[in-house]
Amino acid sequence: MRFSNTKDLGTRIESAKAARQKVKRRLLVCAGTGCIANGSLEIADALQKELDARGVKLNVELSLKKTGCHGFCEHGPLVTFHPEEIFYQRVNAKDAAEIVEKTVLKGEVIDRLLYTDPTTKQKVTKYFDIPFYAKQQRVVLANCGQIDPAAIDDYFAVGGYSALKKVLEEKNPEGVISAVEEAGLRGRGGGGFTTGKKWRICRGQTSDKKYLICNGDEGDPGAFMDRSIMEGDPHAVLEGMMIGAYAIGANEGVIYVRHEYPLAVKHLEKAIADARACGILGENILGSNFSFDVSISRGGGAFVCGEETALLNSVMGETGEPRPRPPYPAVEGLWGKPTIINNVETLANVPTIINKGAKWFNGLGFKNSHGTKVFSLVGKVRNTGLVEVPMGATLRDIIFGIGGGILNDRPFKAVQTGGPSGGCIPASALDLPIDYETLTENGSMMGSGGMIVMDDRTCMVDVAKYFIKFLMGESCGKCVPCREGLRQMSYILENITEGKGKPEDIERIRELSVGILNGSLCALGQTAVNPVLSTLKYFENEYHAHIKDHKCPGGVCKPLITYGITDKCTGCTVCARACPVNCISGEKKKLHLIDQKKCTKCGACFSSCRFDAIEVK
Amino acid sequence: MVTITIDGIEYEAREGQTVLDVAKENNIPIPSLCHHEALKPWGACRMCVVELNGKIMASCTLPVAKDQNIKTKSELVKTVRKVVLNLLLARCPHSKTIQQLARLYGITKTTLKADEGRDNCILCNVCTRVCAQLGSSAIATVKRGSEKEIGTPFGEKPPDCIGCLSCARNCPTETIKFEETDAGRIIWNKSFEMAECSICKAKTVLTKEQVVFFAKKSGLPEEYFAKCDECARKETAETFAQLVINPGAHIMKAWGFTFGKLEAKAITASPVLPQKFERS
Repeated sequence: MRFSNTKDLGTRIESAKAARQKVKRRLLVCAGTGCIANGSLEIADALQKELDARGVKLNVELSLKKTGCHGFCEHGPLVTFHPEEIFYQRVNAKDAAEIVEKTVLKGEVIDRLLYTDPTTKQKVTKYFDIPFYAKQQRVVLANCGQIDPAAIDDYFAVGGYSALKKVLEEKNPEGVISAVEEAGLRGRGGGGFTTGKKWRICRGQTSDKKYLICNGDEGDPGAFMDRSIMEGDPHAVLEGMMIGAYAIGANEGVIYVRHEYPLAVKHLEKAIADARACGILGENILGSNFSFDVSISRGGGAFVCGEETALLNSVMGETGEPRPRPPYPAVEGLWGKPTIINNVETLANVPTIINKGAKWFNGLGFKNSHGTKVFSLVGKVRNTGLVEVPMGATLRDIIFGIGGGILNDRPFKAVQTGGPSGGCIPASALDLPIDYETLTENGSMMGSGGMIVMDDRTCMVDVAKYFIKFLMGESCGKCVPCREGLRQMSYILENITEGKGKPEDIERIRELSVGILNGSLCALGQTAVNPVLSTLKYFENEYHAHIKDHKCPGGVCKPLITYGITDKCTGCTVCARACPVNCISGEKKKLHLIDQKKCTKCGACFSSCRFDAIEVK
Repeated sequence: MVTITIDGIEYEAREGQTVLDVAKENNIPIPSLCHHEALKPWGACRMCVVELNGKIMASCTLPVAKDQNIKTKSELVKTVRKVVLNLLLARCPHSKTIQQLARLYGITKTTLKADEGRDNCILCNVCTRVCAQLGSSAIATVKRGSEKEIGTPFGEKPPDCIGCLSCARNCPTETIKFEETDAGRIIWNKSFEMAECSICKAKTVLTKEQVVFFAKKSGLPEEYFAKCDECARKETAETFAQLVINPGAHIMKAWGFTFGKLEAKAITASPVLPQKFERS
């Protein structure tokens, strides 16, 4: 089924769309990495077996598909049934018979497998009635969880490659760049540089060869939006790359995927092979003069290789260390040729911009940030997972609306946005709109969209120490401020959390920060001090509490805390039994006591007490 | 030619030069540690930082551009350099090079945690880059981040090392240790024998590996390189003498040289000379 022109492709897209509409019932099993780890492939097999056993044939009216990630992995494995949009969570292979028997054949809902809204304690049947999904606006993730990522026909059926068709039929490269510029698309990987502007710089370069690289080296701890897109909608990434390559005049593309994403690689490889077979990728795409092919380069798992110049070195087989800029990659990149490096999410936005129009995209968002952004919501919130909201949504919308608020109704303390080198934003900024500039002004950044929520039992000095240590370990070690500065910073923070901090340490941290922030070679070092500076800005009192009073207000830093039992104690003896070093004594139904000399501050008593009688000081 | 301003004074600069090049030409003091004239700019030590439009940039990697206004003495520049020196002094408190440079910025002792047990390597990578540029690539950095160090493949004797000592002799903090006797050398735990003079059989100043390497790189016979000081001098003198007696003959033989008693074939490859880096 090789298309020799755009018309053939159009016909195919229309027929795939029509075929999809004929499907009356769709049973979808999530086969994203998270759900697979929880056994979703076995569920899919079991469902198939049950269908076979009952003589139910899959046909145009009933389909069983393995889809990409829905983003609500915490509740996986997920099985959904359409068109009723029944949403089953934490499904087991043993549930397969019941699902086929009741839901597929009779259209009944199995209550046991439904999601319970933690706020209202009510069971929710439908996908989009779940607050986690109801308050999202899915543009980039629209196809994730809805189509089979390994089937190119599924992508055609949702209008896939119609943007490429439109571009080849109606637009010249200049027109594509103008559209992307007018849409106001900015890089979703961290920097937030205007994509159209970047493309224009590269287009202006005269060279025999140009490259377009898709940066899939997602390294932020807890972030998995790019992985989900590559796994769940690989053709959208490819289509975005093709349109980008057409615009800048590149004929070779590379997708740089981190080694830890085998499923993403598998799906991308399949997508590339299928697209090649269709004549969508390769020489003279759809009979035009435009030729473009894509290869996959697997990273070795270094955080710094997400930095574009380090990525280039890595692709070239050199040490993954950043290069000094200028020259910028758009002028001198891969193998010394003009190269554009775009993040996965950025590229996945491109087909939508072409399809729905720049105006539509530009209308979404806030001030200079347009479109939507996928965030990876984790930490002390009720609902964790991938959430997509329009730019300009507030942190409160995400954390309390979609996230359902703080776990165990504890008070909200801070949210760390933008990955390890982002900053911590306090409660006072919860109602600020999320856009590139506002986050930066408040000491954090958009980054790749990590969002870690913290409650009152989080120590901000400990948080800063954690991120500095992460970045210290991931620093490539090329330039002095980042390599040596982060190491010294971690010594100082280590001392503070151990109660050995000195009053002058705060000044020392600030001075070091100026050097690291301004002096570092690449963005890793330049932003590495954000967690420290933002916690100092909003939670300086906690630093003083550690240094002067030898107290950890969050109750986290072991050398600075003591556990005690208050008179709320009912003498239930649970804590005494939970204590691994047997340092809690007391008679039944009488107040218990902790032997401070023997206590290892493990917190087992605190977590076991049902009467809130253990206090941390 | 472009005109750039450094600390309020205008200077003429050639396209392709870096700000550090211009500063050096005009005796404007900018300290640097990882910069080496024979090597491509590296931009890692961050000592040569300058301020451009309020932003800190490494002058060794900053190409000159029209109407650039560079500040080398601003408070921000001084602060960043001080932090870098403070950090380097903490890394190698006993390095004379770092101590001297730090003193220029009023730092005599680091205010940070000093690493007493470490050697004086500041990871400027001059050694690895010199080695790569000369064509051996026998050593490289290993590990990453704060654990990064200069090392040999798998920590063993480097198979590609030819014992030229370029790494050690170019090390700004004299950290790379080597032993040298008349008969041989030891560097990176690898022992080298000195090559014998192809004429008088005395020991030369090159290792056997160097002679083989040079011959292979240049296309000249090994005997051409394996010469002791005395024989080399004698041979040069003979060549000169013949030049004076019969200059015409030598010009005739311009590219088919006669060197003393040895006739070298046409030189196919020019000797490996450090090339000045030029940005395209």
